[in-house]
Parts: sequence; C-alpha cells; structure tokens
Amino acid sequence: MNQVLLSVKDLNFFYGETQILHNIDLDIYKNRTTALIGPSGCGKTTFLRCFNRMHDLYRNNRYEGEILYKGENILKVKDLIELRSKIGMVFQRPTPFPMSIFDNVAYGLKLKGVKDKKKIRERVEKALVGAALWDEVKDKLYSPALDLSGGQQQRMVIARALAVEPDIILFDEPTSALDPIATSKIEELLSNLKKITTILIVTHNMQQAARVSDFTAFIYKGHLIEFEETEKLFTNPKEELTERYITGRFG
Amino acid sequence: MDRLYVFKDRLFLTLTVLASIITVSIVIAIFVVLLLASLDAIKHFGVFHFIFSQTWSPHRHIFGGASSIYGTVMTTIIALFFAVPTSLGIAVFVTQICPKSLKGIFSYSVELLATIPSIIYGMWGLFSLAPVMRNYIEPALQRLFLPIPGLKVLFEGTPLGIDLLTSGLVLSIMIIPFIASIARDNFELTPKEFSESAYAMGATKWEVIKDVIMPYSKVGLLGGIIIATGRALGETMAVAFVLGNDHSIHLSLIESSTTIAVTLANEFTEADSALYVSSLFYLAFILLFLSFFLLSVAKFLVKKGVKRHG
Repeated sequence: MNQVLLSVKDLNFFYGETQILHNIDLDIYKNRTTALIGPSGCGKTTFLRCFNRMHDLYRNNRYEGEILYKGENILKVKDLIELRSKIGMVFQRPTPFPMSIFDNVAYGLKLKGVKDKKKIRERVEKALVGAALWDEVKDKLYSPALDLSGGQQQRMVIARALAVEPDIILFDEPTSALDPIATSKIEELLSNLKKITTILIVTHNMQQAARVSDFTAFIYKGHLIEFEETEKLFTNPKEELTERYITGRFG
Repeated sequence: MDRLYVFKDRLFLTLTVLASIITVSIVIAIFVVLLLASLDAIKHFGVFHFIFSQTWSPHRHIFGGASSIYGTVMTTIIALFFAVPTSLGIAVFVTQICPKSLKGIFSYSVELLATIPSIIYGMWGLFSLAPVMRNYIEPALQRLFLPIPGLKVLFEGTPLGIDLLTSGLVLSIMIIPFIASIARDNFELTPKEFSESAYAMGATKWEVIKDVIMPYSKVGLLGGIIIATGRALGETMAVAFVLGNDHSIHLSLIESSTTIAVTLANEFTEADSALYVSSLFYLAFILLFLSFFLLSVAKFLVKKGVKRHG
C-alpha cells in the first residue's frame, strides 16, 4: 500500500544561532503527493530545501537529525551531485536556462554524462509527454525556451526534472507566479505525475493542497503540528491549531 | 500660486531641454569641425587611399593613415585578448568563489586600477614593463613560437620592449577594471533561482557559471567590453610611452607601431603645412568614426539581446 520512500527523523535546522525547524518526524510515501502547508515564514520551504541539501549553497547553515533515503542519511551524503539527480526540484518562478527547449530538458542527462543521442531524444520526448507539453513544443524543440509562455516554461522545467527519472520531485509553490489557467494545467499535471514519481509540494494555497495531495503536513513556527491523509486533515483535524489555520482564523 | 507652479514647470522643462540640446549639438559640432578641418586631406588623398596607404611622409607631403589605424586596432585587439578572460576570471572569483569577507577588498582594488592616471601607466610601461618584456618575456615567446610556421610572423624581429605587445598589455590592465566591474554586477543580477535551479539538478559550480550565469549576463558583458574597447581605442598617454611611434605596418607583435591618438599627440606641434594639419584632423575624424561605429553596433546588439530575454 503506502510504501515509505523517505523518512524524516528528529530533523532540526539552524541558520546561524537561530533554530528554524524543530524535531520534525515525517514519512514521505512513494508515488504519493505530500503537501506542506502553513503560514508564511513557518519554515515549510526551509524544510523542503533540506531534502536536496540546497542549504549547503550558503554558509552558516546546520542540519541535525536524519532524512533516510534508501538506507542512507541524506544529511550526511557526500556526493550531492548524485543525490540531486535523484531528487528533482521545481521553483516558484519558471527557471528556463538560456538555451533551446530540447537542451533545457536534456540538461540533466548532459550533466550525468549521457552521450547516446538516441537515448537523449527518447528521454526528452518522454519527459515532455509526461509534463503534458509535447504537443505544444514538438515542432519547435530547438527554439529558445525563453520564448515559451510562463505556464509552458514551468511545465518545461517539470519535464527537465522528469528527464533524469528522479525518485521524488520537490515543488516550491510552483504555481504562485502563474495565472489561473496555467495553474490548473500544472495541478492536473501534478495529479498524473505521481504515477511515475513522488511529489513533495510546498503551497501557500490550501485549496491547492486539498486538490492535489494525498497527505498534508501542517507546519507552524518550525514545528510539525499535524501530518495526516489530506482528506482527514481538512475535514477532521486533530489539532486545534490546524483547524484554526484551515478555517482561515489566522495565517 | 498656480502661476508660480506653471512658471516653475516651464523653467524646469526649458532647462532640461536646453541641456539635452546642448549635448547633442556639441557632438554634432565636433563631427562637423573635424570633417571641415580634414576636407583638404580628404580631397587630396581620398577615402580609400588614406585608409589603406601606410606612407606617412611629412617632407614629401604624402599622408596615409593605415599605419596609425592598424596600430590602433591591433593594440586594442591585444588588450581585449588579455583583458576579457582576466576580467571574467576576476568577476567569477569575486561573485562565486571568494569568501564574503574578502569580496570587498578584491572589488575595491580592481576598481582602484581605474583611478590610476594613464600617464602613470605609461611610465610604468616604459620603465618597468618594457625591460622585463625585452629581456625575458619576448625572447621566451620567440623561443616558443618562432618554430611554429603559422605563428612565426607574429614574433619576428629584435625584442625591444617598445612594441605592440607591451602596449596591448598596458592597455589591457587599464581596461580590466571596466570589464571586471560590469561583469561582476551582471553576474550578481542573475536571479538566484536560476543558479539554484541548476545546482538542484546536480550541476557543479563551473557548470552553473558556464551554462546559466554567463549566458544570462551576455548582454551586459558585451556592453562592458564595448565601453572598454572605446577606451582602449582612444587611449593616448600610456600607449605613447611604449609603442615607439613608428609609421609602418609590421605584422610582428614585437615591432614598434603607432596609434591614431599617439600620432595626434606627437605631431600637431610639428605639423608645418596645411595638408599635414588637415591629415591629422582626418585621422581624428576616423578615430571618432571608429568609436561611434562601435557604439552603434553595441547598442544594436544590446537591444537585440534585451528583446531575446523578453
């Protein structure tokens, strides 16, 4: 049934002297969508960025605890490049690189040193189909990615993450810079994606969490308040704080 | 009250319009004056002949600008050849690699290079760099390149230290601060999400710089390089010390030459005939045209680049 892909155990995160995340315990299930919700500044994005060790790019950050992935603690992994090819990430704003659509989607494969042209073509097509973008771009694969619309760019970025066949993709508010139509396309895409990968998504939009996710974690001031199946959390929360948040009484 | 506002508005409008008009008129006036002053020489030597003839002989009253134009272009190319990679290296180091605490010191010292007066660069070139070039670097380059058939012609001759290569080097140091600081600013303007996005895919620092930061900064970089080129084309004092003022074209980089700016600085006092003076003005006109042309190309490219980036 629900197979654990990643297991977070007693995770603490510090920026300098300030503790941002406190003793988080959480399981991420394979081929499921897990949403992280909570008010601005609660630490949900900080939490998300622990999974691919993005905090390592900046100084003065410190992790404590474990995120177990295939028997290994992500927080102690030495080979970040290998780790990041298994754990993809999609950001708030679309981030097309200044190259063609094809080269964008093939970028991860290029980084991994894949040389076989036929294989690259197949993977690029598969990824674009997976990201529901193939029909729109199949005739202009070699034109600049920057010419696409915002929503198309975001789907291309998702295709770029898919192309290396990651075990999980981290989404950091992926629709916050998009219009409603582009947003609903991405949400539809998210529902399909969990067939081929696992999704962990930060969203400031509770309706979105309710629509796309199977599990929801409510984070408040760096603490995990409640983690439940989405339906249960939104209809019958155990914690009073959760109830107050989802009914819009704060945050 | 109302009328006072109207008056102030009008006054302000008039002042700004006046300032813009004066600027434009000065540019046009310079063009016109240079053109008028060089009319004699243009009539006498024509355009094609003046640009391609390297005979510069005051006592025979024959003037061709090719040697000055060649020297100007060559020193600038050599300067860019050294300055562009160095500046990019500096910018990459300052923005991506060096610890935050040292960033200020490095940025500041590179910018300090721009405040050194060019006469001091010239003196340094003549008294410090030229002997080193003559005694060590140029003989070493000759040992290295003379056996290679294609490159032989670039390094022939007796190393004197007063030549195209030394001038190009001095110029390159003078333009590094321009390119480096513009490159640094542009690297820092690349949105963080884009470089993070590449890191998140498993890119190394070098791959992020090469695939994301550099291409994103392309347009700005080009602007910086063009400004630097303009400066190198017109630089006078520093080059006058180390180029040798020789009105003939040598392919070899270790031979003397001259530039338009150097010729102008050296020869106005000696110009004893109307045609001589007119020819010097003609050179000045060509220099202005070169800079103007370069700037137009730059503006065009930048505009195109901006469009591409949406």
